[in-house]
Amino acid sequence: MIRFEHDTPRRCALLVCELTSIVAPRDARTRLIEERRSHLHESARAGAPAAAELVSAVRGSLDDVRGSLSIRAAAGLPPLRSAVFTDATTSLAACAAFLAILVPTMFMEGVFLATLVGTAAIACATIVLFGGYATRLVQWHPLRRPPGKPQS
Amino acid sequence: MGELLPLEINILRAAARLRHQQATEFYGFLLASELAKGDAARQLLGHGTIYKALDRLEKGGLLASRWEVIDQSEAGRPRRRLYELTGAGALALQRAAPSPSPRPAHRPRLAET
Repeated sequence: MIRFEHDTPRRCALLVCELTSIVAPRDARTRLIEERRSHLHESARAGAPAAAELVSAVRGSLDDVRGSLSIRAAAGLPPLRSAVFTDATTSLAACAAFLAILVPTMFMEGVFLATLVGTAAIACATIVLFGGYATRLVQWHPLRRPPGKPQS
Repeated sequence: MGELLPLEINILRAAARLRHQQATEFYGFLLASELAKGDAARQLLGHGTIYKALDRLEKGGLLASRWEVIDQSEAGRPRRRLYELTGAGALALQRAAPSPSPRPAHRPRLAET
């Protein structure tokens, strides 16, 4: 069996997935992590680049914030305040995960990967901060108004 | 489950395509590979997104899923979550993204409507 556990970027990708699943209900969390673990094994067997999986994991966790704030708004769907809060929390968890692995990575894997991870951590922090601001904006987004309610 | 998002439509479309290729059931990595082939690759921001979208689609009754039953040490890989397009999913796909029809010979211009 291919053991991606010895593959640092894929291990980090799974760590991000595990941390960003903290807020999910236990059954959903277990399933999500197991599916991602399976996915990472499949990608390792298929020879997919490990760094791409790491980037994908980060983008996947951040996509929820983007999804709630922009895609759903553009589709005319009301993004729930609680969902936006949850998304921001998961992104915060992703950010914390990257900060937690940044220093060990720097010593173990060299400057390139540390730079990659550091950049991702900064991107996470920026989006989380922006997400907090955008959450307030979304509350006043015209698309969130219930039908029939006049716009002031 | 409300209006489908572009990624969700692409997932349903890929599921229908896989079913057409005799792959009645599919799993996340296969789906990701299928999506990466088409135009959906631009909308696919991260593979982590797929699994949440699959969960949403299953909760909406558009997909059904089950865990694969295998001997993991014999197969040399973890078990997969297998998904299947439901009748409701096929219908939702048809409503959200109708199959392309031949272009009409005359398309009315805005001024004519």
